[in-house]
Amino acid sequence: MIKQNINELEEKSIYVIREAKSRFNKMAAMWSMGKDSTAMLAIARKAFLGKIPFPVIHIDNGIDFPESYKFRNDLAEKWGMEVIVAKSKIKPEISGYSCCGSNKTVALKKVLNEYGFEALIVSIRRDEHAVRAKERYISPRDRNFKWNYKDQPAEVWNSYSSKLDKKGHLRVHPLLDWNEIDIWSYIKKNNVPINPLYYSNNGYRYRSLGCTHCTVPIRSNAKSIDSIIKELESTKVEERSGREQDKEKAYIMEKLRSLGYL
Amino acid sequence: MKENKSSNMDFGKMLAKSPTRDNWSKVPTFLKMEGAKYYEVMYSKGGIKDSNDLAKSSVRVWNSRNRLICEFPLFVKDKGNFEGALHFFKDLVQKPRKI
Repeated sequence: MIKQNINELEEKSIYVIREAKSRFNKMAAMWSMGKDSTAMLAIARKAFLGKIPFPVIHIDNGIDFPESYKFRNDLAEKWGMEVIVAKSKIKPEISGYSCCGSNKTVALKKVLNEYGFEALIVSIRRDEHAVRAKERYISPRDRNFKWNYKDQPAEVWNSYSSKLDKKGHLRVHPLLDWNEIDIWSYIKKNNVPINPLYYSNNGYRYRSLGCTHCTVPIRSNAKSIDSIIKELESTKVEERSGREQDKEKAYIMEKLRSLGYL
Repeated sequence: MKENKSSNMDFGKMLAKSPTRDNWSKVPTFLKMEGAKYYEVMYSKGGIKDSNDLAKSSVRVWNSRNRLICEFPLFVKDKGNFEGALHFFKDLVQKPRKI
C-alpha cells in the first residue's frame, strides 16, 4: 500500500465537501462510527472552521457493537453534531445481502424522504472494493435510489455534476482517492478520535467495522496507530476480508450498490 | 457485592420470554447494580436465518471478576417487529477473546 501526500488529499476532500455544501441546500453525511466516516467528519470540521454544518446520519440496525454506540454518543456531544439515528428493523431471515439491502437501505430511503436531503456525503474509497472503484466524486441516484454505474457523469478538471434527478439525490464521495494507510496517517496527524475496537484486545482487533452479525476480527497485536500503519505496510490481506457481505459474489455487491446500498 | 446468580439469570430468562421495550428499560439499572463490565454476543451457529436462530442468539454479560452475570436476548420485540438491542450495553466492553 502506497502512502500518498495527505495534505493534498485533505485539500481535495475539503474542496469537494465545500463544493457540495455550496450547491445543495439540504445535505447530510453518513456516519458508521468507522475510521473513514469519522476522518471525513474531521475533514468537514476543518472545511467549516470547527463546525459541521449539516446533520449526520447513523443507520442503526441495533446490532452494532456497544463500543460503537458509546463512541457515537461521546463524539456527537464533543463535536456538537446533530445526529439523526435512522432505525432499521431486523427481519429474522438476515444474511449479508438481505440485511444490508432490505434493512439498512430501506431505513436510508425513509430518512431521505422524511428530511428531503438532496445530497449525502458517504465515505467510501476506491481501493475498498472493485465496485466502489467505479464511483465518481459526485454521483447521482434516481428516485428509486438506483445507481446507473454504466452511465456516469464525466469528472474532468475538478468539474462535478450537480444534476439532480427529480426526487433523486446525489452521493458525495470526498475520500475516493484515499487508501487505508492515508486514513490512518490522517487520524494520527490530526488526533482524530477513533472507535477503540480498531485497537488490539488480547490478540484480536477489527480492521473494518460493520455490525456484530457480519464482522469478524483479525489476529493482530497492534495497539497504537503507529503499529497499525506498520502492520498495513506489510499486509497482503484485503481490508474488508472480515466483512461477511463482501464474501458474497462480487456481482452481489454491485447489485447492492446499484439499489442504493452504501 | 452479593451475587445472587439464579435471580440474575431469571432476569435474562424473563426478558427472553418477553423482550418488550418496557422490560428492556430495566436493563441499564440492572447492569449498573450488578457491576457489569464485559459483554459477548453469541449468534446461533451459522448465523441468523429464521426466528429460531434469533431466539438462540444472545448477549452474555460478565462482571470485572469475569463472573457470568446474565444472558440476555439480542432483540427488542415491539409490535411483532425485531430491533437490535445492543445499544443497551454501550457502557460495557467486549470480552477479550481467547488466544
